[in-house]
Amino acid sequence: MAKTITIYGRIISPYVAALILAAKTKGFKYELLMPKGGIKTPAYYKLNPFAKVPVLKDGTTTLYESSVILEYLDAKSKTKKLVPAAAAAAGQTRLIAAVANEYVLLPAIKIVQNKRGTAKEPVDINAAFQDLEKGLDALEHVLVKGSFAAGARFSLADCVVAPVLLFTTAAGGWYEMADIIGKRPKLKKYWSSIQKHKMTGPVLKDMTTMFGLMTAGKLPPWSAAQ
Amino acid sequence: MDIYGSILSPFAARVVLAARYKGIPHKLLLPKGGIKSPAFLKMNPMGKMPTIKDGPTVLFESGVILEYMNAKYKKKPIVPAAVKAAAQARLIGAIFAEYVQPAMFGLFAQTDPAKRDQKVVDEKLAALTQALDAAEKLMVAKPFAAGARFTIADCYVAPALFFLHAIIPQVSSEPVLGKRPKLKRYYAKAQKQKLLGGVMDEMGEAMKAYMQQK
Repeated sequence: MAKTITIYGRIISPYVAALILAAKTKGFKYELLMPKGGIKTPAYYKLNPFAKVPVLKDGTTTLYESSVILEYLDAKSKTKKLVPAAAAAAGQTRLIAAVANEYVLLPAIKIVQNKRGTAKEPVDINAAFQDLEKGLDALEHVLVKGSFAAGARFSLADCVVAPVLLFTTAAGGWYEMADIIGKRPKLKKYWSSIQKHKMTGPVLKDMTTMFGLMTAGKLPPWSAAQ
Repeated sequence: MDIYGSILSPFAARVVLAARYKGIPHKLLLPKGGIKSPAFLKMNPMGKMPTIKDGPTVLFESGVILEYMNAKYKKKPIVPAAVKAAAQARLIGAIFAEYVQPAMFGLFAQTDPAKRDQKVVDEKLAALTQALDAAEKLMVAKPFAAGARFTIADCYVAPALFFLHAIIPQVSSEPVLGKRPKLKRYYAKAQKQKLLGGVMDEMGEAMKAYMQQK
Protein backbone atom coordinates (compact mmCIF):
# COMPACT_ATOMS: atom_id res chain seq x y z
CA MET A 1 0.00 0.00 0.00
CA ALA A 2 1.29 3.44 -0.89
CA LYS A 3 2.38 5.56 2.04
CA THR A 4 0.26 8.56 2.98
CA ILE A 5 1.74 11.97 2.26
CA THR A 6 1.34 14.57 5.01
CA ILE A 7 0.66 18.18 4.02
CA TYR A 8 0.82 20.73 6.83
CA GLY A 9 -1.44 23.74 6.43
CA ARG A 10 -5.03 24.81 6.00
CA ILE A 11 -7.04 24.97 2.81
CA ILE A 12 -7.54 28.76 3.07
CA SER A 13 -3.92 29.22 2.00
CA PRO A 14 -3.76 29.17 -1.82
CA TYR A 15 -0.26 27.69 -1.51
CA VAL A 16 -1.73 24.79 0.45
CA ALA A 17 -4.78 24.44 -1.83
CA ALA A 18 -2.45 24.15 -4.85
CA LEU A 19 -0.81 21.08 -3.28
CA ILE A 20 -4.18 19.55 -2.46
CA LEU A 21 -5.26 19.93 -6.09
CA ALA A 22 -1.99 18.41 -7.28
CA ALA A 23 -2.18 15.46 -4.86
CA LYS A 24 -5.81 14.79 -5.79
CA THR A 25 -5.06 14.94 -9.52
CA LYS A 26 -2.10 12.62 -9.20
CA GLY A 27 -4.16 10.22 -7.07
CA PHE A 28 -1.87 10.32 -4.03
CA LYS A 29 -3.13 9.40 -0.59
CA TYR A 30 -2.64 12.44 1.61
CA GLU A 31 -3.64 13.95 4.91
CA LEU A 32 -3.97 17.69 5.49
CA LEU A 33 -3.32 18.86 9.02
CA MET A 34 -2.15 21.79 11.05
CA PRO A 35 1.00 21.17 13.10
CA LYS A 36 0.28 20.48 16.75
CA GLY A 37 0.79 23.68 18.69
CA GLY A 38 0.72 25.82 15.53
CA ILE A 39 3.52 26.87 13.19
CA LYS A 40 5.78 28.55 15.76
CA THR A 41 6.84 25.46 17.70
CA PRO A 42 10.42 24.09 17.79
CA ALA A 43 9.16 20.88 16.14
CA TYR A 44 7.67 22.81 13.20
CA TYR A 45 10.74 25.06 12.84
CA LYS A 46 12.65 21.83 12.31
CA LEU A 47 10.43 21.02 9.33
CA ASN A 48 10.49 24.56 7.94
CA PRO A 49 12.96 27.06 9.41
CA PHE A 50 10.77 29.90 8.05
CA ALA A 51 7.73 28.55 9.97
CA LYS A 52 5.35 28.77 7.03
CA VAL A 53 2.81 26.50 5.42
CA PRO A 54 2.77 24.32 3.43
CA VAL A 55 5.26 21.67 4.44
CA LEU A 56 5.20 18.25 2.82
CA LYS A 57 6.35 15.07 4.51
CA ASP A 58 6.65 12.01 2.31
CA GLY A 59 8.50 9.23 4.08
CA THR A 60 11.99 10.59 4.75
CA THR A 61 11.50 13.58 2.45
CA THR A 62 10.56 16.92 4.02
CA LEU A 63 10.04 19.92 1.76
CA TYR A 64 8.77 23.48 1.95
CA GLU A 65 8.07 26.19 -0.69
CA SER A 66 4.92 25.26 -2.61
CA SER A 67 6.48 25.62 -6.09
CA VAL A 68 9.22 23.15 -5.14
CA ILE A 69 6.64 20.74 -3.69
CA LEU A 70 4.43 20.95 -6.80
CA GLU A 71 7.35 19.92 -9.01
CA TYR A 72 8.17 17.14 -6.55
CA LEU A 73 4.62 15.77 -6.60
CA ASP A 74 4.57 15.88 -10.38
CA ALA A 75 7.92 14.10 -10.71
CA LYS A 76 6.93 11.47 -8.13
CA SER A 77 4.68 9.61 -10.55
CA LYS A 78 4.49 9.47 -14.32
CA THR A 79 0.70 9.33 -14.48
CA LYS A 80 -1.40 12.48 -14.89
CA LYS A 81 1.50 14.81 -15.56
CA LEU A 82 0.87 18.35 -14.32
CA VAL A 83 3.63 19.82 -16.48
CA PRO A 84 3.40 19.11 -20.23
CA ALA A 85 6.28 17.21 -21.86
CA ALA A 86 6.92 19.79 -24.61
CA ALA A 87 9.37 22.46 -23.42
CA ALA A 88 7.47 25.51 -24.71
CA ALA A 89 4.13 24.34 -23.28
CA ALA A 90 5.85 23.47 -19.99
CA GLY A 91 7.37 26.96 -19.94
CA GLN A 92 3.98 28.60 -20.49
CA THR A 93 2.38 26.43 -17.78
CA ARG A 94 5.01 27.37 -15.23
CA LEU A 95 4.88 31.04 -16.30
CA ILE A 96 1.12 31.23 -15.66
CA ALA A 97 1.64 29.74 -12.20
CA ALA A 98 4.53 32.11 -11.43
CA VAL A 99 2.58 35.21 -12.53
CA ALA A 100 -0.41 34.19 -10.39
CA ASN A 101 1.79 33.62 -7.33
CA GLU A 102 4.11 36.63 -7.71
CA TYR A 103 1.90 39.35 -9.06
CA VAL A 104 -1.68 38.47 -8.11
CA LEU A 105 -1.43 36.57 -4.84
CA LEU A 106 1.16 38.75 -3.09
CA PRO A 107 -0.91 41.98 -3.36
CA ALA A 108 -4.08 40.00 -2.52
CA ILE A 109 -2.42 38.72 0.68
CA LYS A 110 -1.47 42.29 1.61
CA ILE A 111 -5.06 43.38 1.10
CA VAL A 112 -6.36 40.60 3.34
CA GLN A 113 -3.70 41.21 6.00
CA ASN A 114 -4.63 44.89 6.05
CA LYS A 115 -8.24 44.04 6.86
CA ARG A 116 -7.21 41.41 9.42
CA GLY A 117 -4.60 43.64 11.03
CA THR A 118 -1.93 40.97 10.65
CA ALA A 119 0.44 42.83 8.27
CA LYS A 120 4.03 43.05 9.50
CA GLU A 121 4.54 46.43 7.83
CA PRO A 122 1.95 49.17 7.19
CA VAL A 123 -0.01 48.49 3.99
CA ASP A 124 -0.58 51.19 1.37
CA ILE A 125 -3.97 49.84 0.40
CA ASN A 126 -4.36 51.87 -2.80
CA ALA A 127 -0.93 50.76 -4.01
CA ALA A 128 -1.80 47.14 -3.17
CA PHE A 129 -5.01 47.33 -5.24
CA GLN A 130 -3.08 48.93 -8.12
CA ASP A 131 -0.51 46.13 -7.96
CA LEU A 132 -3.33 43.60 -7.93
CA GLU A 133 -4.92 45.12 -11.06
CA LYS A 134 -1.56 45.06 -12.80
CA GLY A 135 -1.01 41.46 -11.78
CA LEU A 136 -4.44 40.46 -13.08
CA ASP A 137 -3.60 42.18 -16.40
CA ALA A 138 -0.38 40.17 -16.60
CA LEU A 139 -2.26 36.97 -15.80
CA GLU A 140 -4.79 37.74 -18.54
CA HIS A 141 -1.83 38.30 -20.88
CA VAL A 142 -0.20 34.91 -20.25
CA LEU A 143 -3.34 32.78 -19.86
CA VAL A 144 -3.94 30.39 -22.77
CA LYS A 145 -7.34 30.14 -24.46
CA GLY A 146 -9.11 26.88 -23.68
CA SER A 147 -10.99 25.20 -20.89
CA PHE A 148 -8.01 25.31 -18.56
CA ALA A 149 -5.42 27.91 -17.59
CA ALA A 150 -2.71 26.59 -19.92
CA GLY A 151 -4.97 25.24 -22.66
CA ALA A 152 -7.00 22.10 -23.25
CA ARG A 153 -5.77 20.11 -20.26
CA PHE A 154 -5.71 20.48 -16.50
CA SER A 155 -2.15 21.36 -15.43
CA LEU A 156 0.06 22.77 -12.72
CA ALA A 157 -1.20 26.19 -13.80
CA ASP A 158 -4.73 25.30 -12.66
CA CYS A 159 -3.48 24.00 -9.31
CA VAL A 160 -2.06 27.49 -8.68
CA VAL A 161 -4.40 29.86 -10.53
CA ALA A 162 -7.78 28.55 -9.32
CA PRO A 163 -6.98 28.95 -5.57
CA VAL A 164 -5.29 32.31 -6.23
CA LEU A 165 -8.41 33.60 -8.00
CA LEU A 166 -10.64 32.32 -5.20
CA PHE A 167 -8.52 34.13 -2.63
CA THR A 168 -8.37 37.27 -4.77
CA THR A 169 -12.09 37.50 -5.46
CA ALA A 170 -12.84 36.81 -1.78
CA ALA A 171 -10.35 39.53 -0.78
CA GLY A 172 -12.07 41.94 -3.19
CA GLY A 173 -15.42 40.92 -1.78
CA TRP A 174 -14.24 41.81 1.71
CA TYR A 175 -13.76 45.37 0.41
CA GLU A 176 -17.21 45.26 -1.23
CA MET A 177 -15.74 44.90 -4.71
CA ALA A 178 -18.12 42.55 -6.45
CA ASP A 179 -16.09 42.07 -9.63
CA ILE A 180 -12.33 42.27 -9.19
CA ILE A 181 -11.70 40.15 -12.30
CA GLY A 182 -13.51 42.74 -14.39
CA LYS A 183 -13.29 42.95 -18.13
CA ARG A 184 -10.59 40.41 -18.72
CA PRO A 185 -12.22 37.97 -21.14
CA LYS A 186 -9.90 34.97 -20.74
CA LEU A 187 -9.80 35.22 -16.95
CA LYS A 188 -13.54 35.78 -16.71
CA LYS A 189 -14.32 32.71 -18.78
CA TYR A 190 -11.76 30.64 -16.96
CA TRP A 191 -12.97 31.67 -13.52
CA SER A 192 -16.60 30.84 -14.25
CA SER A 193 -15.76 27.40 -15.64
CA ILE A 194 -13.09 26.29 -13.15
CA GLN A 195 -15.49 26.83 -10.22
CA LYS A 196 -17.72 24.15 -11.75
CA HIS A 197 -14.88 21.70 -12.39
CA LYS A 198 -15.56 18.42 -10.58
CA MET A 199 -12.33 18.32 -8.66
CA THR A 200 -11.43 21.99 -8.34
CA GLY A 201 -14.96 23.12 -7.45
CA PRO A 202 -15.16 21.38 -4.04
CA VAL A 203 -11.68 22.60 -3.05
CA LEU A 204 -12.68 26.17 -3.91
CA LYS A 205 -15.89 25.71 -1.87
CA ASP A 206 -13.85 24.59 1.15
CA MET A 207 -11.65 27.67 0.72
CA THR A 208 -14.75 29.89 0.56
CA THR A 209 -16.10 28.40 3.78
CA MET A 210 -12.84 29.02 5.59
CA PHE A 211 -12.56 32.54 4.17
CA GLY A 212 -16.01 33.18 5.64
CA LEU A 213 -14.77 32.06 9.05
CA MET A 214 -11.85 34.45 8.69
CA THR A 215 -13.97 37.48 7.77
CA ALA A 216 -16.24 36.64 10.72
CA GLY A 217 -13.16 36.69 12.99
CA LYS A 218 -13.54 33.00 13.78
CA LEU A 219 -10.37 31.64 12.20
CA PRO A 220 -7.60 30.98 14.74
CA PRO A 221 -4.22 32.52 13.85
CA TRP A 222 -1.58 30.28 12.24
CA SER A 223 0.43 30.33 15.44
CA ALA A 224 -2.45 29.05 17.59
CA ALA A 225 -2.38 25.56 19.06
CA GLN A 226 -4.79 23.33 17.16
CA MET B 1 18.34 32.77 -27.67
CA ASP B 2 17.95 36.42 -26.74
CA ILE B 3 18.31 37.06 -23.03
CA TYR B 4 17.17 40.53 -22.01
CA GLY B 5 18.99 41.55 -18.88
CA SER B 6 22.20 42.80 -17.34
CA ILE B 7 24.85 40.58 -15.76
CA LEU B 8 24.81 42.79 -12.66
CA SER B 9 21.28 41.64 -11.90
CA PRO B 10 21.41 38.40 -9.91
CA PHE B 11 18.13 37.43 -11.58
CA ALA B 12 19.66 37.71 -15.06
CA ALA B 13 22.94 36.16 -13.91
CA ARG B 14 21.00 32.98 -12.99
CA VAL B 15 19.85 32.63 -16.57
CA VAL B 16 23.27 33.45 -18.04
CA LEU B 17 24.89 30.80 -15.84
CA ALA B 18 22.47 28.15 -17.06
CA ALA B 19 22.88 29.16 -20.72
CA ARG B 20 26.67 29.04 -20.47
CA TYR B 21 26.75 25.75 -18.57
CA LYS B 22 24.44 24.10 -21.06
CA GLY B 23 26.21 25.63 -24.04
CA ILE B 24 23.07 27.33 -25.37
CA PRO B 25 24.00 29.95 -28.00
CA HIS B 26 22.68 33.26 -26.65
CA LYS B 27 22.96 37.01 -26.70
CA LEU B 28 22.66 39.08 -23.53
CA LEU B 29 21.10 42.42 -24.41
CA LEU B 30 19.01 45.31 -23.16
CA PRO B 31 15.68 46.07 -24.87
CA LYS B 32 15.77 48.88 -27.41
CA GLY B 33 13.60 51.65 -26.01
CA GLY B 34 13.90 50.25 -22.47
CA ILE B 35 11.81 47.93 -20.36
CA LYS B 36 8.71 50.14 -20.41
CA SER B 37 8.50 50.35 -24.21
CA PRO B 38 5.35 48.93 -25.84
CA ALA B 39 7.45 46.29 -27.67
CA PHE B 40 9.01 45.03 -24.44
CA LEU B 41 5.75 45.16 -22.48
CA LYS B 42 4.26 42.92 -25.15
CA MET B 43 6.86 40.30 -24.22
CA ASN B 44 6.64 40.92 -20.49
CA PRO B 45 3.70 42.99 -19.23
CA MET B 46 5.48 43.45 -15.89
CA GLY B 47 8.37 45.18 -17.70
CA LYS B 48 11.06 43.20 -15.93
CA MET B 49 14.25 41.38 -16.77
CA PRO B 50 15.29 38.71 -17.42
CA THR B 51 12.96 37.96 -20.28
CA ILE B 52 13.94 35.55 -23.04
CA LYS B 53 13.01 35.05 -26.65
CA ASP B 54 13.89 31.69 -28.14
CA GLY B 55 12.35 31.45 -31.59
CA PRO B 56 8.60 31.88 -31.05
CA THR B 57 8.90 31.25 -27.29
CA VAL B 58 8.85 34.26 -24.98
CA LEU B 59 9.18 33.72 -21.24
CA PHE B 60 9.98 35.67 -18.09
CA GLU B 61 10.55 34.98 -14.36
CA SER B 62 14.04 33.54 -13.93
CA GLY B 63 12.84 30.30 -12.32
CA VAL B 64 10.53 29.63 -15.25
CA ILE B 65 13.32 30.35 -17.73
CA LEU B 66 15.75 28.00 -15.98
CA GLU B 67 13.24 25.15 -16.12
CA TYR B 68 12.56 25.91 -19.78
CA MET B 69 16.24 25.81 -20.66
CA ASN B 70 16.55 22.50 -18.88
CA ALA B 71 13.55 20.98 -20.68
CA LYS B 72 14.34 22.36 -24.12
CA TYR B 73 18.08 21.68 -24.29
CA LYS B 74 18.65 18.13 -23.13
CA LYS B 75 22.44 18.24 -22.93
CA LYS B 76 23.92 18.79 -19.49
CA PRO B 77 20.73 18.80 -17.41
CA ILE B 78 20.66 21.25 -14.49
CA VAL B 79 17.85 19.46 -12.65
CA PRO B 80 18.92 16.05 -11.32
CA ALA B 81 16.95 13.07 -12.66
CA ALA B 82 16.28 11.60 -9.20
CA VAL B 83 13.09 13.05 -7.73
CA LYS B 84 14.48 13.76 -4.28
CA ALA B 85 17.74 15.27 -5.55
CA ALA B 86 15.76 17.48 -7.95
CA ALA B 87 13.64 18.78 -5.07
CA GLN B 88 16.70 19.53 -2.96
CA ALA B 89 18.39 21.47 -5.79
CA ARG B 90 15.21 23.47 -6.41
CA LEU B 91 14.71 24.13 -2.69
CA ILE B 92 18.24 25.53 -2.29
CA GLY B 93 17.46 27.83 -5.23
CA ALA B 94 14.13 28.85 -3.70
CA ILE B 95 15.74 29.76 -0.36
CA PHE B 96 18.10 32.16 -2.12
CA ALA B 97 15.33 33.59 -4.31
CA GLU B 98 12.68 33.95 -1.62
CA TYR B 99 14.65 34.68 1.55
CA VAL B 100 18.33 35.50 0.99
CA GLN B 101 17.88 38.00 -1.82
CA PRO B 102 14.95 39.97 -0.36
CA ALA B 103 16.88 40.46 2.92
CA MET B 104 19.99 41.35 0.90
CA PHE B 105 18.18 43.95 -1.22
CA GLY B 106 16.62 45.36 1.93
CA LEU B 107 20.17 45.97 3.17
CA PHE B 108 21.29 47.33 -0.21
CA ALA B 109 18.80 50.18 0.34
CA GLN B 110 20.53 50.94 3.66
CA THR B 111 24.15 51.26 2.51
CA ASP B 112 24.20 55.07 2.71
CA PRO B 113 25.09 55.84 6.38
CA ALA B 114 23.41 59.25 6.13
CA LYS B 115 20.02 57.73 5.30
CA ARG B 116 20.37 54.55 7.33
CA ASP B 117 17.59 53.28 9.60
CA GLN B 118 19.41 51.01 12.06
CA LYS B 119 16.16 49.29 13.06
CA VAL B 120 15.59 48.21 9.46
CA VAL B 121 19.23 47.10 9.17
CA ASP B 122 18.87 44.93 12.28
CA GLU B 123 15.61 43.39 11.03
CA LYS B 124 17.07 42.59 7.62
CA LEU B 125 20.27 41.19 9.14
CA ALA B 126 18.15 38.90 11.34
CA ALA B 127 16.16 37.76 8.27
CA LEU B 128 19.42 37.17 6.41
CA THR B 129 20.80 35.09 9.30
CA GLN B 130 17.67 32.93 9.27
CA ALA B 131 17.87 32.50 5.48
CA LEU B 132 21.58 31.64 5.44
CA ASP B 133 21.09 29.15 8.29
CA ALA B 134 18.38 27.42 6.25
CA ALA B 135 20.63 27.40 3.17
CA GLU B 136 23.58 26.02 5.16
CA LYS B 137 21.41 23.13 6.30
CA LEU B 138 20.58 22.07 2.74
CA MET B 139 23.79 22.95 0.91
CA VAL B 140 26.13 20.14 -0.04
CA ALA B 141 29.04 22.23 -1.38
CA LYS B 142 31.05 19.32 -2.77
CA PRO B 143 31.98 21.53 -4.53
CA PHE B 144 28.71 22.59 -6.16
CA ALA B 145 25.67 23.74 -4.21
CA ALA B 146 23.71 20.47 -4.46
CA GLY B 147 26.59 18.02 -4.86
CA ALA B 148 29.32 16.97 -7.28
CA ARG B 149 27.69 18.59 -10.31
CA PHE B 150 26.51 22.00 -11.37
CA THR B 151 22.71 22.29 -10.94
CA ILE B 152 19.94 24.85 -10.98
CA ALA B 153 20.89 25.61 -7.34
CA ASP B 154 24.26 27.10 -8.39
CA CYS B 155 22.45 29.49 -10.74
CA TYR B 156 20.86 31.07 -7.65
CA VAL B 157 23.61 30.70 -5.07
CA ALA B 158 26.69 32.14 -6.82
CA PRO B 159 25.17 35.48 -7.96
CA ALA B 160 23.57 35.99 -4.53
CA LEU B 161 26.87 35.29 -2.74
CA PHE B 162 28.65 37.77 -4.99
CA PHE B 163 26.13 40.45 -4.02
CA LEU B 164 26.23 39.61 -0.33
CA HIS B 165 29.98 40.15 -0.27
CA ALA B 166 29.54 43.51 -2.00
CA ILE B 167 26.79 44.73 0.35
CA ILE B 168 27.16 43.27 3.84
CA PRO B 169 30.55 44.83 4.72
CA GLN B 170 28.89 48.23 4.18
CA VAL B 171 26.24 47.63 6.86
CA SER B 172 27.82 45.15 9.29
CA SER B 173 31.26 44.33 10.70
CA GLU B 174 30.40 40.63 11.10
CA PRO B 175 31.89 38.12 8.63
CA VAL B 176 29.52 37.86 5.63
CA LEU B 177 28.89 34.12 5.84
CA GLY B 178 29.49 33.82 9.58
CA LYS B 179 30.45 30.38 10.85
CA ARG B 180 28.79 28.39 8.12
CA PRO B 181 31.40 25.93 6.83
CA LYS B 182 29.52 24.74 3.76
CA LEU B 183 28.62 28.20 2.47
CA LYS B 184 32.20 29.40 3.12
CA ARG B 185 33.72 26.41 1.34
CA TYR B 186 31.31 26.88 -1.54
CA TYR B 187 32.14 30.55 -1.99
CA ALA B 188 35.90 29.95 -1.82
CA LYS B 189 35.73 27.20 -4.47
CA ALA B 190 33.21 29.01 -6.66
CA GLN B 191 35.49 32.02 -7.00
CA LYS B 192 38.15 29.74 -8.53
CA GLN B 193 35.73 27.74 -10.65
CA LYS B 194 35.77 28.78 -14.31
CA LEU B 195 32.06 29.28 -14.93
CA LEU B 196 30.92 30.50 -11.49
CA GLY B 197 34.06 32.55 -10.85
CA GLY B 198 33.87 34.00 -14.35
CA VAL B 199 30.32 35.25 -13.87
CA MET B 200 31.10 36.63 -10.40
CA ASP B 201 34.10 38.49 -11.86
CA GLU B 202 31.91 39.97 -14.59
CA MET B 203 29.39 41.02 -11.96
CA GLY B 204 32.24 42.70 -10.06
CA GLU B 205 33.32 44.61 -13.17
CA ALA B 206 29.73 45.66 -13.87
CA MET B 207 29.34 46.79 -10.26
CA LYS B 208 32.50 48.92 -10.50
CA ALA B 209 31.25 50.55 -13.70
CA TYR B 210 27.86 51.16 -12.07
CA MET B 211 29.39 52.79 -8.99
CA GLN B 212 31.56 55.06 -11.14
CA GLN B 213 28.50 56.15 -13.10
CA LYS B 214 26.74 56.98 -9.84
